[in-house]
Amino acid sequence: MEAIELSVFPPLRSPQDPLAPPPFLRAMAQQEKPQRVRQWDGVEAWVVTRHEDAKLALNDKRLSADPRKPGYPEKSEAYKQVLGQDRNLRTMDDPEHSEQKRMLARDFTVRRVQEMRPAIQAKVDSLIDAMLEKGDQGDIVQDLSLPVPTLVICELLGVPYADRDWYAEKSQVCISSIVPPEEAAAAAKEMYAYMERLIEAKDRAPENDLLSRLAVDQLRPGIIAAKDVIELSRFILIAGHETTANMIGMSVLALLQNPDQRELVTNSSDPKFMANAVEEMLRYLSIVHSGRRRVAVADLVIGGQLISAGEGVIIMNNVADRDESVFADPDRLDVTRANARAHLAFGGGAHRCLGSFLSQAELEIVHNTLWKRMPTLRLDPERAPRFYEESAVYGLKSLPVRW
Amino acid sequence: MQILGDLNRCIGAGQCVMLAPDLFTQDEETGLVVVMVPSPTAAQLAAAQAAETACPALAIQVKDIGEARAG
Repeated sequence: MEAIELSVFPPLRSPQDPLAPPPFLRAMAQQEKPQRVRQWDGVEAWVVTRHEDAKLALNDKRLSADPRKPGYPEKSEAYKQVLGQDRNLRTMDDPEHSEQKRMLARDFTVRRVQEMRPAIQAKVDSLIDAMLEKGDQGDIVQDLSLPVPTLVICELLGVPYADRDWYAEKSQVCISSIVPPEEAAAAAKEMYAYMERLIEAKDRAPENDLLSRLAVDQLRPGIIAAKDVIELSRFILIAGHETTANMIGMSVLALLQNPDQRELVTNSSDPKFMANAVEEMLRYLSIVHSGRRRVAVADLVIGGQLISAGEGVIIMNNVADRDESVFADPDRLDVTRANARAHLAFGGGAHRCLGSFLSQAELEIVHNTLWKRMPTLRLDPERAPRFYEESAVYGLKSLPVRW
Repeated sequence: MQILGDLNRCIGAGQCVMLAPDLFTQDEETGLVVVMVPSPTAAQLAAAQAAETACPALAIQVKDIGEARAG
């Protein structure tokens, strides 16, 4: 098959429908089989867009997540040089991947997240108090969607909240798809130095947080090398707030644009309803949009297409989340959708997002609180939302609102 | 019918716990699945099957004992 040249990936979204995946990729999903593309560095890869295929691919052990393997389709030059060089659970295969994941899993269980809910609720309450106190206009991004997950991941990891502006900026540089590699490398290096000092401090005086546990249980006994602990911590910091921050902002926008759904959410206090509503927001937005990157280590067949060992695969989980054969009327945001939970917004298989409960709890609390407390919240007619297109995680730079 | 949790596949995603907290929990230490009710009643079966479908790692099986997947 002739490869389609796609040096900009993902392709641009439609300005008329920025919340939906790019039209080009949706057209690819209409094809019977995965399509072959040639990406920015000449590496060719099969793009998987159907839900059934994506779910199976995410669970197939013949697909490696290790960027060092030849044929791995890396997102960008910056990723190749910087985050793709990290050796952590994102970039490992089993059994190493599972070992690392299990080390972290107990900090992210359902029970642990439930224990955090009161603190998250208190934070959301005080942020909304501050918005109401300051007047009748603001920016959801600055006022709500950035602070909530930042606070949560700070407390979980044990990172000082006071430094948040600094590492928020550095994180964005690390996952941008357009910064020059040198800039990404510099930001990553600064974050590395920061985490290194922090972990040393935790080792000297451990507290009840994840970094302390990593220092005491993994670093001290020499189970994991310092470099790997630091890179892992850096990764969790980035993953823990970029993603949820963008989901909060985008889901607020989605409900502002869909008043019937907003009304349903406003009128409900049922935790199960709210949980399902959040699942649907995740499906509809599916903001981690540059594809799950894999390389085949053995021949396999996906969606009727033979993929040979050494060939790259890009699993477009966000496109799969609009698959009409699974989700009826997929472009409709429907918070009562019965199978919303089948989405792949957190990925799937072994590498599925570790922080998914945490993210969901934050989203549930925001949506259970915001609309009830700010019933007149609306888009600012004079200032349009601005999107963050060139990132591994789609989101908003600003969401101006009035109330 | 039996509920089987494959600890080699389980990644501690907890979808089973969310859907059927009477049947599943997560090990405090590892975050991995603990099948609390290996032999569900007829009334519990639907929840068990929902967990089987929802598991992102395909680690839950609800089967007649003779049908269980090998390995």
